[in-house]
Amino acid sequence: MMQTRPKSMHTRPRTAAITIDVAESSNRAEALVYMFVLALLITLLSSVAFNRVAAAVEPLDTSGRHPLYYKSLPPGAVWQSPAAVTMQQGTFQPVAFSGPAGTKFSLPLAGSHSEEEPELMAGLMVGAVYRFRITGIPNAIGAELYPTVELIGRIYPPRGLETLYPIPINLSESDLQEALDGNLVTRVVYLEDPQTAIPLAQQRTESRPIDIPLDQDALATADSFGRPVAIVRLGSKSPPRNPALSSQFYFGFPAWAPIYKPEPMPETP
Amino acid sequence: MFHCFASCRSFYRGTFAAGTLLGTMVVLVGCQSPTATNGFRLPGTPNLPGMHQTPTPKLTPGGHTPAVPGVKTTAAIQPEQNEIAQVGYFGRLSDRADDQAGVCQGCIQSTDAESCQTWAPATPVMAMGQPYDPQEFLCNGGDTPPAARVMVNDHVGGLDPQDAVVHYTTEAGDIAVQASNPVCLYSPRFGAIRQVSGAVAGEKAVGLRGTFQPVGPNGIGLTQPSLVVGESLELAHADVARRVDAMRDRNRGVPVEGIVQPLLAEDALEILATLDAVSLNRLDESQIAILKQGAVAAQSWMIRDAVEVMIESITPPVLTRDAKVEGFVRYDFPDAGRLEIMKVADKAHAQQGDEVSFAIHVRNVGDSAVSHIEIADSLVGRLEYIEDSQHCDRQAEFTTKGNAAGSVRMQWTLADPLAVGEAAKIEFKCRVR
Repeated sequence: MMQTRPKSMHTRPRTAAITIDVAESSNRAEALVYMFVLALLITLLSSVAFNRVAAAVEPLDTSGRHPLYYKSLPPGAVWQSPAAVTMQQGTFQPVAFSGPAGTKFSLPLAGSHSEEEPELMAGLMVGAVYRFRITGIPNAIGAELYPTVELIGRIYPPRGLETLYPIPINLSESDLQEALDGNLVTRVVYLEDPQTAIPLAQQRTESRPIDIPLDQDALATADSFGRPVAIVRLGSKSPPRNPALSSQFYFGFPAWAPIYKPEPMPETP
Repeated sequence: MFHCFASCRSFYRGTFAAGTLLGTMVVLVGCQSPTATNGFRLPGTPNLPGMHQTPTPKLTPGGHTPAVPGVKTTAAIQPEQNEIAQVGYFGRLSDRADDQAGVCQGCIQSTDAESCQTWAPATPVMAMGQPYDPQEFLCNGGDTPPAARVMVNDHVGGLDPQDAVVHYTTEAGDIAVQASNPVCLYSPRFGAIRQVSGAVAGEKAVGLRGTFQPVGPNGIGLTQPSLVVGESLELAHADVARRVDAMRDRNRGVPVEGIVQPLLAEDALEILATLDAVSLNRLDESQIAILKQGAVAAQSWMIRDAVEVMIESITPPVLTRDAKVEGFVRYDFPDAGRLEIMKVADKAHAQQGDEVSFAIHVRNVGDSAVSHIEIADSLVGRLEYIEDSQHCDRQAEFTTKGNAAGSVRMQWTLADPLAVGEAAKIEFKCRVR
């Protein structure tokens, strides 16, 4: 606001940083206008402030410039975010890998890899990053892929049903082909909300994903459908030749627990 | 603040005090409540167990014993007891240890097989203190808000997917709705979001055009260019079409089938309808007689050294003695409704593609017969009703129609009334999607 100080008015000490002087000859209506404008200003600023509070309780807006997930986000960073400190690390969560016919999966074990299995199931530690190997890719003889899987959550089955309901890591043939073509394929696996589940029959090894474009946040999209539990990234085709880089490539070789299928009981006559 | 401005004459010749603006700042700061961040939840962080609202039926200390009556067939109830089956009595399985039916605790006796089937608990049977996520369970039964109500045309409104209710007409003509217990199966289902990103985005290649590679003997000392691109070029604008990713919406439409509550307000004022004082705020002399009658009726309920029992819908005896109240004992019958409905499943957990058998038991536990019994069950989207798998041990008309969750809403209309102690049993099968 402008300061109006007529020359005829005697000077007064400034007692505040901002003063608005009105001439003595000003009438009452002018003063009321000033008061009204100030009250309007207070109302507007207050409403702005309340709107900010109301916006704060809304779901996090991820359509702007602060995505939760972006393609250069390194594996393991989601778990190490400050919002994740309340979660417990160290739980082994059964995870089942599956892919197109012919593919085999193996996890690093003692400097090499474990036995390749078409339907590998293993207990992975929640919060750790694992790099596994895919071989036997269809239409790509001899090609290998070294994707990473990062568990950012777990499930809570009743006791005794842990291995019956693992987190499925289902990869389709198009995933593998995209990775072999040099692209980075990111899959965010989420636990579906049964209230909003798609009413279509699916199998546990179903690998049909929901494709999203690059301008969408994969983690936030998965969160809108349920609870994200794992992030899989496919892109690496070969491990480093330098053995010194091996530990970094495999993220420190975190421990994992093998899960074997029970042998079928021989039928007794 | 306005009062100050109106009363202070110095305002006209003077100043808007800086305190006014300071007050504005106080208002602004005051609006930034610390609770503003309470709503933040980082998508991607798992929901803490128990965060979701979930129907929590009571768990008895045993964990496996349901707080619902034991399941008996009609034949098991009637012939053995000549007297009227316990009116308003809730038999618990744990109280029936001596009963033959009590041997099969925590299970139902199927009419098809004599084998004891395990049943799915109304709430997930978990160890004490073990967390669980309700999203991993597939629940059916109960009555989620808005509550189910019978509309004018005998249509049941407010029957959401997952609800299972029975509504009936009593001898007095009242229509009541009773919800079943929820049945939860452990059946988590997973989905995946895929995003493919590469060097080509928006039909514009981002990368090296070429590298200068010298040809000649190695080890000359020429620094070769690194394979790592140190400069990241980002698109200023890309014509990326936003696609429709899914047609699902978490906000399910709330039916507005005429569930208007002002009818309840009418009931609340019904007792006062005979008094003009409600509207006039003064008592008419003609109302004194009504008040006197009420006072006499109130006194008639007082009797010294005697026990009285009040039964609903029975005119109280008129006593002329003057007495005072020395004690007040209130007896509550276990259930206001006269039908109890229970829903059970033969499995506690199910894989995708498994078949699950559900059974709905409806029993008259009141003191009079009920008629116009209609049992409605709306399945959740992940349960697919198997055609022609339903069976009802009483004559009933069975109809199905689709519901909002992409599954079906089943309805059984019993042809005959249920007498006291009689029961109806419905069985059907679903496949887990």
